[in-house]
Parts: sequence; C-alpha cells; structure tokens
Amino acid sequence: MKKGRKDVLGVCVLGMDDRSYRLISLFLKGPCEGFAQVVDDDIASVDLIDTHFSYSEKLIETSLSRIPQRSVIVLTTKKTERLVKDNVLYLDKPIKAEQMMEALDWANDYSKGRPRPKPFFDTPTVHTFSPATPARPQSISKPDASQPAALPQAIQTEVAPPYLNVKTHEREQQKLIDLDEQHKKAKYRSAINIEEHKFDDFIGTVPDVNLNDSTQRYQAAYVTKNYYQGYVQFAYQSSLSNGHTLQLNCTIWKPLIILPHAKEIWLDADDTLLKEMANVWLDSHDMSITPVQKDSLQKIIHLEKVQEMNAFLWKLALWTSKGRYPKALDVDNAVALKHWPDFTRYIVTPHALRISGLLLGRGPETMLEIAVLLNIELRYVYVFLSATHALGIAVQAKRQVDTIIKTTLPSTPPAKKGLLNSIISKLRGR
Amino acid sequence: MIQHKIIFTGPVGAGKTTAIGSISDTPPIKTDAAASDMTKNKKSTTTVAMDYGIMDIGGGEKIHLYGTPGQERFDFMWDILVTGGIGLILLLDNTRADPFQDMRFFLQSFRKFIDKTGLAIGVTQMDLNNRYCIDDYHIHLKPFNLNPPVFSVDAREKRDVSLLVQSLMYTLDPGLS
Repeated sequence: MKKGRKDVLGVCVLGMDDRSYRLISLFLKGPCEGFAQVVDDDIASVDLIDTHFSYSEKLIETSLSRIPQRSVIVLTTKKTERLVKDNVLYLDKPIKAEQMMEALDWANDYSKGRPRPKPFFDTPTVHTFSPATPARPQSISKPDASQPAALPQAIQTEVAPPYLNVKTHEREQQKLIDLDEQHKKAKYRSAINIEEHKFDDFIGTVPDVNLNDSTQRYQAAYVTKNYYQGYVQFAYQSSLSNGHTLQLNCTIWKPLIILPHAKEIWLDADDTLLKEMANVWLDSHDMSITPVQKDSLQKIIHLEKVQEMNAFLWKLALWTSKGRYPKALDVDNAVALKHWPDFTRYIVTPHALRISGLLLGRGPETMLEIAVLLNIELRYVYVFLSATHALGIAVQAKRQVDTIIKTTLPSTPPAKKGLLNSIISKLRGR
Repeated sequence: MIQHKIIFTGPVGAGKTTAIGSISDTPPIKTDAAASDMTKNKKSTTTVAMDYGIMDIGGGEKIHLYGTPGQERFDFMWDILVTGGIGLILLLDNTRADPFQDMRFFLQSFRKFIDKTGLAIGVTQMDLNNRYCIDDYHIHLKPFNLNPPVFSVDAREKRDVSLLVQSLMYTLDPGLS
C-alpha cells in the first residue's frame, strides 16, 4: 500500500447525512493519516457509498452509469446483495483504517486506468440487482448546504451506522468512536438544577423592575427580537423548514452553525460568553444568515462543541430573560403547555417541574395564577415560560374555553401527600 | 402494612436494572440469568424475575423500587407487581428497531395502572442512536391521549433517574413542595 501519497486522493461521498459525511472526513483525516480527503464530485477519483442508507443501491447504479471508469467503494455489513463489477469494491464494516487505505489505493489505480486485482478482503458476492436496464444518470444527493442530506427517517434498518460498528480494539478506530455521538459531551450532559438561592447568580437580575410585583408585570416583559435569542429562533425556523444547514453570523459574535437533521448546533464559545452575549441588544444590520459550505462543515472537528438545538435555545432564553417573560405572551391571559420539556438535558429553574405538572394536569393558567397556586415568586414562572415559549412548548391559550374548562386536580390525601413529598425530598437530597 | 412501590418497566436492555440501582439506597437485588433467547443479542444477562431496590425516605418509611422482567413471557407477573404501586416509570431503548412499538405495547399492558396512578417515560441510549428524538415520542403518544413527562435518560446518571421520578410525583400532584 502506498502510504504518504504526494497527491491526496479525492473521494466523493454520496448519499450520507451531514453527520456521516463529517465522520468519513474525520476518518480519512485521522485514522487514515490524510491518505485521502472528501472532495467535490467533479474532482474525485473514487465514489464512496454506504449501504446503511436505504437508497444506496440506486446510488451505486447511478455512480456506475454516470462515470463508468470511476471506481466505487461500498461500505456494508451485508454479505448478500452485492453487485459483481470490476470497479466496485465492497468493504465490510467494521471499517479498519488499513483496509480503507488499501481499498482507496486500489480504487484510485482503477480510476486512473491501472486496473489490478481487488484487495483480498473483498468477500465473495451474490449479485441481486441487475444493471440490465441501464440506470439513467440523475442528480446525486450530497450533504451540502443547498441540498438536504438523508433524513434520519431514512434510516429504518437495524444495521448500525458505521461509527457504531467500528472495532474498539484498534486505537485509531477507538478515536473514531470518540469523535462521534459519544464525544458530544455537551449534548448529552445531564441537567443542572438551579435552586432558588442560586438564581440571581446563575440566571441574572434585571434592574429597575421588581419582577415579583404583579403590579409591575407589564414592565417585566422583553422583546426577543432585540436579542440574540430572537435571531437564533429565526435561524432555527429557517433551517428546520427547508432542511438546510445554516450559519448565523454576527459582527460581534462567533458564528453559530445549525444542523437541522440532527437537531444540533455548533458554537465555539463557552456558556460564560454566551450568557454575556444573551444580554446584548442587537441591530439587524449586525446579523446575517448564510448557507454553510462543505469546507466549513469539515472544520467542525470539535464535537464536544456540538450541542442539542433545543437545550442551547433553552439556556439562551433563560439568560436573555433573567426572570422576565417574552412580550409575545400576554401576561393577563392564560398560557398552555403542550408537553413536558425534556428536563434531563436542560437547565432546570426553580419550580419548573411543578409548573409543568400544574399546566399539564390542570390546564392553561395565567402567569399570576400559576404563581399564586404554587405559592412561588413570579420570576420563576416568567423565566420558565420564556424558555418553553422559545422552544414552542408554551403557547397562549387561544380559546376562551381553554381557560374555563379545567380538570380538577386530584385532592391528594394528606398521608399520601406526605409520602410523595418525602420521595421528592429524598431525590433532591434534602 | 401498605408497601409503597414505584414500578420500572420497559423492554429488555432499556436500563431498568441500572436505573433502579442509581437511586436505590441498597445495592439492588437482581435476578439476572445468562440470556439464552433473542435477548442474548443485546446483553449477556437479563432479568428473569424482577429487580428490587429500596429508597429510605425517613420516618421508617421505604419506597420499594420494582423492575419488571423485560421479556413478554413474564407479563403474568406484572399485575402482581403493580399492586399498591405509586406510579410507573417506562424506560424505552432508542436503539431498538421500533421503540414506538415497544411503547405501545407497554402502554397497553399497563393502561389500567397508568390511569389510576401516573406515568413518566425515560428514553435511554440516545447517545448511541439519535435517529428518534423526544418529540417523536410525544407524537406517538397522542393516540393514547396521554401527555406524560418524556425525558432523555442515561440510566447510570442518578440525576436523570431522579428527575424522571420527580416528574412522576409532580404529575400526581403539582402542589408538592
């Protein structure tokens, strides 16, 4: 095998989602020692396809018919349904870096008109789909900014994606696993509970208004559009509605990349900076949204900076709110909660679980009623509704009837209430 | 004397044993055996009777944490286990081929108990396979006319399991302190 090539081999990755695309890029760069790199279709020597994706057979056919002299490497766990063609090489998962490099080397030779026997690890095959009817050339799905990648829904088989199948006993392959989902420490970090006495320090305070005074409730609102939160919400909506990976740019802040298929964001900034940014008034001239180029996606190598989209927006809303509520909600009318937030991945503000239980058990209430019913400070209601409204979970109760028809909460007998309270205390370590 | 129980259920490998262990005051009593059926593809041992843990909540009172065996062939035990239960924790494994089918099965199996008490759902293994998100579970819950807490859960994390159980308590009574 030819290690340390002068010219880096160009590989065109076909039909993979953003995540797999990134992973392959990293695999070639890391464990494969830069032997090859992912490039655009027009300058590639080799096509790479993974049978994990349901339309892979079609991609193979298309690849063969489009540029017949180009070789194709197919990553697979299947021992059957393999096409017998001189320029198609099946590489069994789990993928080893050595094998990948050898396969790429062979594929490059073939594509350059230097055919030679396939490497030994290409297992005997059974041909099932016939190329008798030539496939028409067609556009090929690639994970770029202008074309949505394979959606998660397309993954319907029980076959694990390549990063799960990589053998763990090889050092390089272990690294590959670490770089993927399990390496996204921020994404899977457990919830943080904010107790009342830590609220001011962690969430922040607003001068000149007493948030707990119901007579000052109209001064306790804030307009999300004036802050980074509003732009992030807008960029989310744009990205999710058309399935494009977008970048939110700001003249005074770092770019935020939105990955709609995995519902993730990537931001090279820690929470301390984000908290400061959350309070800055922004002008629309400071902001722009642009498609993300492939080059930028490949730069996303710090997977620990990947965060779950909603968890990011949740904390951003908390820090923008600082105990206020979004003006889009009418403080004098009832609000409803569609469902429980995924609290284990969010920052849990004081009484957030109680408010959720109340709104879902009893039905819509005004913010003031919630505070009275639970005997809590108004700012805890405001801040919770700020975060849930940002995520689209909290909405204004539209119909008058919503505020009238309420299910009566079961009147818990004192003995049982004592028991349940004891369980809560135990779980909270009180 | 009434035995206060919280029931943990879900398919094989969803993390019931681990979840109980993460909040139990005593090492959970496991009744695992070497897996000999389809379960062996998922893990080397499996719960064949039930798991059992205890939370000591003070004043001499204890909460008994019971985990049902995951295999459907033991479902005759479920009715016995839930008697006197405070509520149900349903753990679902996001790496399963169709976790929503699992959810439907367990919701139907425990529907009477859920209607009398409460339900909280924890989705595990999301860091191994994130093809389904929590919103997908909410969508699949709609036909059941249920709107319980559904959280991402790492069964090894005490905080995750604790929050899930707390949410179950607040579905029963949001007026709790």
